[in-house]
Amino acid sequence: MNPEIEMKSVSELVSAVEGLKNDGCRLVVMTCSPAPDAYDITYTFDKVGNLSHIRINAEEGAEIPSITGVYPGAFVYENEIHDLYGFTFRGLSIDFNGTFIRTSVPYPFRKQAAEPKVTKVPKETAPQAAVPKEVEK
Amino acid sequence: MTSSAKSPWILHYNASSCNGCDIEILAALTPMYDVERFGIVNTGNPAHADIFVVTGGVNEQNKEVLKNLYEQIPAPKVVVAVGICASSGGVFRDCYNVSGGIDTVIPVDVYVPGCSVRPEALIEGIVKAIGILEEKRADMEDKK
Amino acid sequence: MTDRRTIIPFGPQHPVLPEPIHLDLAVEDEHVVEAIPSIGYVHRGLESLVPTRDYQDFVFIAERICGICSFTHSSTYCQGIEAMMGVEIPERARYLRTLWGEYSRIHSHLLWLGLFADALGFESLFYAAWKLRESILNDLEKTTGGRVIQSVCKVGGVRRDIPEDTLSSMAFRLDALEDELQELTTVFLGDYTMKKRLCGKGILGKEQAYLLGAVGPVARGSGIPFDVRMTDYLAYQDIGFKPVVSDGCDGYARCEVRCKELFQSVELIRRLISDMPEGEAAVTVKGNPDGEYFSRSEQPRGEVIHYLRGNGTKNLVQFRVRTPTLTNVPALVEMLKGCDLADVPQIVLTIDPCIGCMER
Repeated sequence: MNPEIEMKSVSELVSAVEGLKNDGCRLVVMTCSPAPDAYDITYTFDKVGNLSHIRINAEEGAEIPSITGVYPGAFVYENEIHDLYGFTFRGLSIDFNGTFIRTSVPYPFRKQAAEPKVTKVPKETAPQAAVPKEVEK
Repeated sequence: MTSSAKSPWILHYNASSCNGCDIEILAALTPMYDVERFGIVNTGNPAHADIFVVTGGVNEQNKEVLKNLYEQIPAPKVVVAVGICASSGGVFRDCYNVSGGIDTVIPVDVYVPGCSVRPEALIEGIVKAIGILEEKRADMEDKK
Repeated sequence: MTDRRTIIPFGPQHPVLPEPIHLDLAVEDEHVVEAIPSIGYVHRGLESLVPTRDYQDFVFIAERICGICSFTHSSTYCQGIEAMMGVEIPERARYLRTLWGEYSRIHSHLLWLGLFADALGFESLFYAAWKLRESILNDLEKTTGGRVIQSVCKVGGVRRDIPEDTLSSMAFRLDALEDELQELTTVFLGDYTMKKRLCGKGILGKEQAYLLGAVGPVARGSGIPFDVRMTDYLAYQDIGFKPVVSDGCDGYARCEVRCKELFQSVELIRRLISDMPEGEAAVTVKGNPDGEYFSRSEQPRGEVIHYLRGNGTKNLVQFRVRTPTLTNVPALVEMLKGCDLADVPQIVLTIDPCIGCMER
């Protein structure tokens, strides 16, 4: 059971979002997810309990117009997507410049994220040492 | 028994925990479990604390905060790792942002496992910590 | 004017905050002009674990997004997987999930009331609220085996059933609890100190709340009659539901909504217990999820969205959670504008921040 998603191009995004706002919709969430080709950014809206979605397709690192001019609350999602996926939002009202969520690797949710630089505890803490060595017969 | 062991003050810090252990620490302070009967008081100020209670698997951003808080607690101090995340990273061990256990950042004296930790286990851990606090104080006095 | 502006850092370690969040408060004298939140202290990146975990095992990780809203996270996740796979769960499982969901709501609201009283320095009230909370936790532990992390939901239903005699004893205990709740909330809503610290503080108008996407008690405290429980999910349509709304638009209104929701939850649990259908508590699930789904439910703090995407293998491709606290952050920033520095801690608390949820 898949939701109905309306595909939009990047250029018609802001006007589509404005239309939804004038229609009395509330912005619910912006979701970014890796698609087979590039990435999908889905905008979800709610009106009296019914969800509607619009989606744009974007290449890695692309510049996307910000919708904070229409929905000021979108700054949390846009900053988050910037920090986790590396998209740039043009005209963001409150821009944290990548300090909203500070991660150990830049853009960890990209398709090929860099190796984490956090020090991990070694996975096997010497289980061999517990077994006494057999004397060769 | 010295006065600090009769009434140890604890400082609690959430180092990327899911809250489960944090609310159990608070639950241990409230009337049902009531650790205040052992003189244990929760404080928000590291300079007042004797026992440092840490929950969660420590992420990149927390490391410095955790180190700072640890350094601000006056000696002798005891660190209690509460919950499986603080002990080893738990289910979040494989996450890219979790370093896996607070012993990767500061030395730990008592490990209290559990997900989330039960208040009874937590109280036992704190009681163990009081014993260690007493030993550390005795060591410090010997060196004087 | 600008030379009087000072930046005061608030958090991450702060006596009123059980969890780390950092705010940069720009103040002019004692008035906050702007608040800039900075998060990431609890960010674990658990959404990145989906490719390595089986979708059925991932329920446990979904539950550990947050220890307070744990049950709702697992039920929302399961609901999403079930919708993707077209699994119909038994009636009894639906009722049991609703029942535990309401129990967690009472536990979460009492927890918030306690923490809030503690932040004001009203310590005896904190203890009173948490003492009542223990009786809820006892019932949760008795029926699920866990106090705060229940691990009772699974894809296809629930792991445990509640026997009839336990259900009736739970209903019996609710009567006693209701009287005690009455006494407790009278203090929260009628006490002079409480009113002094809450009335007219942290104002968020109705239009603004809607525009900024506020959800849960924050939105309902600003007069927006929206609650996901009004839509068709779990058993809420069967037992009837009407949201609690207050028009006060301030901290007091949000507190009032939460207090009234306690009684509403008690009433809902009573109806669930009396209408509990007979039958199995789970069905066997075969196959793997394919496609995508936006699953949502009402947490104690508001609407939560789990976005799930599968490709027909046993691992999901994408999992993303949008929690109520994240979407209430813009509303918080708005509330803090123009308040006094001394009021910042309790205004932050009126949105019931759950940082573990927010940053995942």
